[in-house]
Amino acid sequence: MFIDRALATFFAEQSKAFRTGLNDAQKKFSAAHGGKAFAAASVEDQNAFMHTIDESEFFTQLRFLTVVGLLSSPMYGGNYGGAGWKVMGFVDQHAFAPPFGYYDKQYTGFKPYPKAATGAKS
Amino acid sequence: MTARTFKSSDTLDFIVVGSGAAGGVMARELSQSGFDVLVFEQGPRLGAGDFEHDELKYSMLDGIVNKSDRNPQTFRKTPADVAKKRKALTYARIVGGSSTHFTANYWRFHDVDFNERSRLGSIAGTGFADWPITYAELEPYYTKVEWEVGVSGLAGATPFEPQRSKPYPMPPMPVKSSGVLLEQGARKLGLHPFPAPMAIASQPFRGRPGCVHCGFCMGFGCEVMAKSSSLYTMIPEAEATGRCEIRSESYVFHIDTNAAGRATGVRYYDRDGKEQFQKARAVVVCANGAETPRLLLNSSSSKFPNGLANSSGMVGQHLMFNQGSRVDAVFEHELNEYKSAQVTRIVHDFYDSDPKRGFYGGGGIDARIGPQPTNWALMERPGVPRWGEGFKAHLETFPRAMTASGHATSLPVPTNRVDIDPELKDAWGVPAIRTTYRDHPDDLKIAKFLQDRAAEIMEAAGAQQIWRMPVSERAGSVHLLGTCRMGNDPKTSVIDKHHRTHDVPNLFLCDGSSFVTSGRGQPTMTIQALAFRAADHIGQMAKRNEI
Repeated sequence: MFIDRALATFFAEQSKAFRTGLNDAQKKFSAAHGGKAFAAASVEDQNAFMHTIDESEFFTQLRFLTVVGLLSSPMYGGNYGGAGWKVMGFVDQHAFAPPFGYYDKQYTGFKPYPKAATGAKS
Repeated sequence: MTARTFKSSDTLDFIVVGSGAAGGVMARELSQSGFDVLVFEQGPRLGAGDFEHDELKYSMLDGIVNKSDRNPQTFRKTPADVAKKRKALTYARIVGGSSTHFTANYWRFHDVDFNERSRLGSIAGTGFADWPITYAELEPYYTKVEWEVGVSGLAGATPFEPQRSKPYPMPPMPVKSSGVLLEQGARKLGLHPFPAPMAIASQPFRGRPGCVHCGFCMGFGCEVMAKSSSLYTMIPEAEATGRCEIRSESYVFHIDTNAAGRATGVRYYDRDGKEQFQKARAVVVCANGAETPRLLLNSSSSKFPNGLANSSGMVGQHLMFNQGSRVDAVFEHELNEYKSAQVTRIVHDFYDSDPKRGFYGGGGIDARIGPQPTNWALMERPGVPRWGEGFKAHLETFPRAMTASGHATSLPVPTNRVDIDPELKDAWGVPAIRTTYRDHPDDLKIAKFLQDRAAEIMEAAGAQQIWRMPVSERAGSVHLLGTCRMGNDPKTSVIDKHHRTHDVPNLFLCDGSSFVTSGRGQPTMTIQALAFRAADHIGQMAKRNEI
């Protein structure tokens, strides 16, 4: 849904290359799998096929659109309910307070260096 | 607000082109000195309420920066290549300029940044030179930036700190886990990490609230006005004088001159795309290291056939980006770097160039966010699967990850430059920027050197995994430096030490273009210190009728 929407609107200039690439990849898959569609194939077959195309320009574009869809604001049609952010452990919140993580929680304060303790050098 | 609106028939004391880090300071200082000032800004005026946590919009769709379709550019590596359409130089195109979306690292330059050529000697194939001013001359203005724009930090924390006349007005930002790890690792190695000076209010400051640690600084506009952007600091203070107008969506494309060789005013496209002219007694260009040389080169005339203020041929030359490097690391426990200011600890032990290394260069290392989730996930780390279960497992390390960045020098290479593309024009029909850039080999060497040191620090801090992201030739930047350099000799520089162009007595330039050397990667603090100093001199000269 995100990709369709993106290619129809803000990534419209990528649309042609993506549709062509997708079509070619699907044809290549069915040709090698007795006419079977990629979407209907087993995960093993899908993964094996992806390994054969994951250096292509089409794959780079597919990866970009998938990652951007997964992690952009849900208002763009992907990242449903913040599902992508949950995978990454990112919390969408507008304010936080220290401590922010494990290591700053243990921090005991900045200890000055002897040389700097006397003030600025020239 | 008592902001002024000038008439098109008015002759201004000063026109300032650009409302960013330098333009904001210039507007505030000159209007507070009693002058009528009109500031032109290409982009729109937005407020804190307009900014969002939206990575797609801000980093992939040119949310507030120059747009590839309306403001196109071309790029090539060497003068022998044909430049191809590509946005190489990025800046925020809104009121407040790039100070609106910057990361807010506010290191001062050190003494050595101003006189390194004398200390080290010349470097073949470069325009390596001393500045015509010293650190000591700029020091009072650095202090002014800290106290009037607003910088948080800890004075005396680093043994490498240059002389300072006053402490910081605000304590440093609360340390993050990345800062703690950098500090622990670096101290183990005998280095001297210290709290990062940041142009972010760590507590309420001059009518602005303190930071709420939302984490969206780098590339984003601050939603609470805690980041000390011109938009929230200098510009409202300039407007409050009643002598300053910020004219947004008004795109200056030509500086006019008369037979005497003096600037008479500027031509611009207003928000309806209509050409207008505004008269002024003096013009100050603070349009950034890309747009300032472009405006001068596009303002050629029969009297100035090679572009305005370009008798030296130096306009656009010596573009410097600041090379850099990154090490990504994953630790055992959560850091949650997506929260709060991007940087809290830095290391300056490698700041000076050291001939023993066998190449020129120096820099700093900082601990930072790696960045926010979408851009973090898109970054390909050596050896990490790009898809499938392995990629998903990598995404899950996000809260435990950080980056140690190297920020380095770039040498001023004469063939690295901004000029005008012979064919391409922007959406207004104004000839577009062509960038030619290839890093000096020493720039890549110092970037790799800092990467090795950063990796050692991450190792000493106990990182479970470390990635050295490939150091490669820069094909673009947000640091736009050196293109109208300052100097005493009109044959080898564009402006004098008071930012007046050598060729046009009532035309001044002040922004990243004024730099003679690149510093170590955090230019905005110095851009603003230069602007305070320039405004001081320009105002005094105007009062003495010397403009």
